[in-house]
Amino acid sequence: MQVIIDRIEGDQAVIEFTDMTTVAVPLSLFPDAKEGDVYRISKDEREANKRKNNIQDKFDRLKKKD
Amino acid sequence: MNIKNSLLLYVLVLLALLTSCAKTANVSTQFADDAYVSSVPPTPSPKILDAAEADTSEIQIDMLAGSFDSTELSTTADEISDAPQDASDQEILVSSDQYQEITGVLEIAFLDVGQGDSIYICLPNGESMLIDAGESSESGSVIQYIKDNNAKDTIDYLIATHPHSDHIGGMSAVIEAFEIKSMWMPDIIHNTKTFENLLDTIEESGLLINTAASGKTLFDYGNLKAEFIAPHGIESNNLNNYSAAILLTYNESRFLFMGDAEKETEAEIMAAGYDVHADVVKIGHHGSKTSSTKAFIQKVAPKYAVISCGKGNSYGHPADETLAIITELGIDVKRTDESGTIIFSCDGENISCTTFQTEVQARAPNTVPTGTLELGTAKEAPAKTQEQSIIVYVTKTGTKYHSDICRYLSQSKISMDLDEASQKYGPCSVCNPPR
Repeated sequence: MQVIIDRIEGDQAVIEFTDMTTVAVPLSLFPDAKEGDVYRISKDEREANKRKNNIQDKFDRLKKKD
Repeated sequence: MNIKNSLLLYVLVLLALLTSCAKTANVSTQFADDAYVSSVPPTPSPKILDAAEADTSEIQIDMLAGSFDSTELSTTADEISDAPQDASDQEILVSSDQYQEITGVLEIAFLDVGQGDSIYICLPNGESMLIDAGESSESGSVIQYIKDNNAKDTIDYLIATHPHSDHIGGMSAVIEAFEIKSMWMPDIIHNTKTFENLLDTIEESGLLINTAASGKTLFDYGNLKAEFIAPHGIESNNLNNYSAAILLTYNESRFLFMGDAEKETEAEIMAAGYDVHADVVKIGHHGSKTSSTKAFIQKVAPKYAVISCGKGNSYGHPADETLAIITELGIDVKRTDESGTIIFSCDGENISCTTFQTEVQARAPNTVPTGTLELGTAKEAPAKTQEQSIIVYVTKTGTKYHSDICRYLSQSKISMDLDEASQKYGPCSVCNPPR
């Protein structure tokens, strides 16, 4: 998904989707964003799986053995 | 008519026209702002002076070219000697200070378009003007307002103050719905689809863009005039500072439209020496604290300050600081988020303000609370809150669904619930119906 920064309003960024709808989001999501910047938002399945495994391990370590 | 006579007549007519031309220049200078020396010469009234101007320049060219050929000479002289017989209008126009005084009512409507700007102006000479067109979701209401308030299908002056979506989002649909006589934008682009789409629509309409910049005149009919006082060559990474600011004058009444101009632009306008005094000012950038310095507002010293912003907007517009500056100076504040559409009427002398709504409808929020952001949900949220009662329209043969006002509905118009329509049809790209 691609979004374009339409404008910055204080601590919010107004982003435009490809269908030209806009939404204001916290500017902190797009550090250093300037008007006209283009961002690609993509799903990172590898990172998700990695995190899932790590957290599962952590959880399992902490689980009280019956 | 022999050559000698026609030469004499030629010289006499030439002298008369040159004198009247010189008079025009004087009058125009008087109308130019005292404090500001314009780099662009004041444009004479395009309609009234065309004839006189054309004649004068023709003669000047003949003289420069030294073409005192008898045939040409007598032709020119005959043409001119014919003129007084059929041009009594011209005579009046040329003799009475070059401008026919405009009378009638000037009406300025600050439309309630939620968070955004759209200002529709009916000029007393019958022309019309639209400054900005709100977000694309508001285009229907902007178009409807114009249709309800003007029998003509034209907009004489369409101005996009700057390329942010809350100012130009609805403009493509406006261009599709009306015949645009002239289009004005500052010399700056934006990367967004909304801006690109506007350019595409402009191209499809066969329009060309006039550059809005300080010193340029939008129109000048003598006692009715509009000129740009910004942008003035600023370089900024903030598009707001490229806002086209317009000063509209009707006799002694003055109206200032600031777009989203911020403090830097206000400073630039003051440094350029413009007389910014106005009876009504459209406050820059929705009353944000980024705009409206005390120094600037003091110079404008208006009776009314209009703030165009959406009820419950997430940006905190207008800012308390800005409201304090304005109200401390004793200025009457009118807000579209409180009063809905605000209308000013000026009969050439007195200005009155009318508001209609006491309860302004908040638009669907275009923001999500900090910390719980899910992009997919956020995007669809505005449509969902309205879905229950939305009716859209389709045609017998078309593959798109439309909003009520779309021009494609002239052949057939079948109403349908949005849920059903969006499953079977695609949204029209012209009227941008609800999704």
